[in-house]
Amino acid sequence: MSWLTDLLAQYGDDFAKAMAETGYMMLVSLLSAALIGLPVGMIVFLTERGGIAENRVVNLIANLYINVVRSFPFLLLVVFLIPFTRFVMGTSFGTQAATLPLCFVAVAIYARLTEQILREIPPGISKVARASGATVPQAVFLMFLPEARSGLVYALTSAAISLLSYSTVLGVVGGGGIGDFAMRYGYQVYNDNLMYLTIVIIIVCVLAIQAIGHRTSVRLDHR
Amino acid sequence: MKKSRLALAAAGLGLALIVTACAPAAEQKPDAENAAPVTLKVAAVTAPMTDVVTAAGEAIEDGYKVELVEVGDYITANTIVNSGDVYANFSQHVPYMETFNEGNDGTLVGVQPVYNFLIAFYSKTLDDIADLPEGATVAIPDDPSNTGRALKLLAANDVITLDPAVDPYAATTKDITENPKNLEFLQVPIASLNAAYEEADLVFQWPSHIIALGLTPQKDGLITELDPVFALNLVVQKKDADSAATEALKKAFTSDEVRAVIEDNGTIETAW
Repeated sequence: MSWLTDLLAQYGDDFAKAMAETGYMMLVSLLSAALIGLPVGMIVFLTERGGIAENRVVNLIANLYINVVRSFPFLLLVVFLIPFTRFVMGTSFGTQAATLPLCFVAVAIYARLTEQILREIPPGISKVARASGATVPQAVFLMFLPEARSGLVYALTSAAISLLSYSTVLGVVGGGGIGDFAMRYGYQVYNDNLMYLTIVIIIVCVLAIQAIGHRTSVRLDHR
Repeated sequence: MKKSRLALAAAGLGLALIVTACAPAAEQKPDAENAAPVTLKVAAVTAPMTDVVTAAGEAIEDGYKVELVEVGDYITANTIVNSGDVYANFSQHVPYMETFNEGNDGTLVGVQPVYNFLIAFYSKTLDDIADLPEGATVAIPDDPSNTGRALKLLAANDVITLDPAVDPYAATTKDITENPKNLEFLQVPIASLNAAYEEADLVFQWPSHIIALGLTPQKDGLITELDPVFALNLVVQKKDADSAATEALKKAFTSDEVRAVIEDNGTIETAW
């Protein structure tokens, strides 16, 4: 195992920095998924034909956002957004700036997952909402969200794992993170041990995210 | 009926793939005048390297044919030569190739320098490197050999000092011993350095990329370097270094056809 201690001694600091960068990118993008993506997905569900707040224009715009963002190969979305990121953040390089395109895709992914979860709750609930004369906020907070919460947590788990994967290409704008670490200190200099070790660590992270998400989801499932 | 035809087509495609995969990368010497020409596969990643390979294909002597194999990245270009899947590549300078050899027990050699170019640092705001402000952001490449090259150029102009114990061609930002202006280094891929030009104080770039911003090293470079070590080389396996096929390739890569491509490009110059 001496190769392992050698690697740690040589790359420990860079690795810790990369993990912190990935943690930052994941945290901010997951927050935007939950705080913006979930409402957008709810809006798509409520405004589609036959929904309790049918509205073609709003539905079209929300769907267009989700579809367009998800169509971009992610690397090209990052590059495409460089002028926008510079305008909003003052710079388009570095970890903070790199998080902006990640948030765009986080919102789009989670909005679509939210819509899918909501479509699967029993149609009777929409009928009850209508018949009981509930307002839209009442229906959302008292009926749809409680019914869907287990699935929504599970979907957020899935989104988190996708975002971890997306975050690995942000080295292209100096975002750093664990994927960039594996590329620069492993792949580019043919340090295969370091590259494989990093991949194993990423796998462990994914397993942990999946386990936490699964447990939380099961606990919230009241069916 | 339709199904079986589809299956037949699929089988045919599969067979074709197997046959192509099994075909040797190159025979050493064409036998007779009437024999089919020997195909030499040459890997390249992007223009102008791909254009040079195409021009060399037009110039190569009878008995040989050059087939351009376009690959997605510079490491793959080396992997497939080292494994014998293609005969040669034209994608790199010798230091980059040596890094590959060291990391992969590779046996690649550079057999013919073909073109070279002036690398430079550019700035949107400064006219003189001496005016670099305290704490300025300097954008440099993130791959090992170009990182070393960028730092070496800065050190040659006394902007920073590098650890004398370290091979300057292999230097990293950790080998900077003196940084009197407290410069901050931003490391991004070559392809992102043009975008960095808009906001960093000083940016390293290759002429083939900076031309997209209307800049040239001769006119706009604050500091420049032309180092023969970094001439783009034709690369083959060591065992093929002196073969007749390699001689034919070397002749083709230094032909008038290739010279014309290099001169038309405007950002590069011949290195033979």
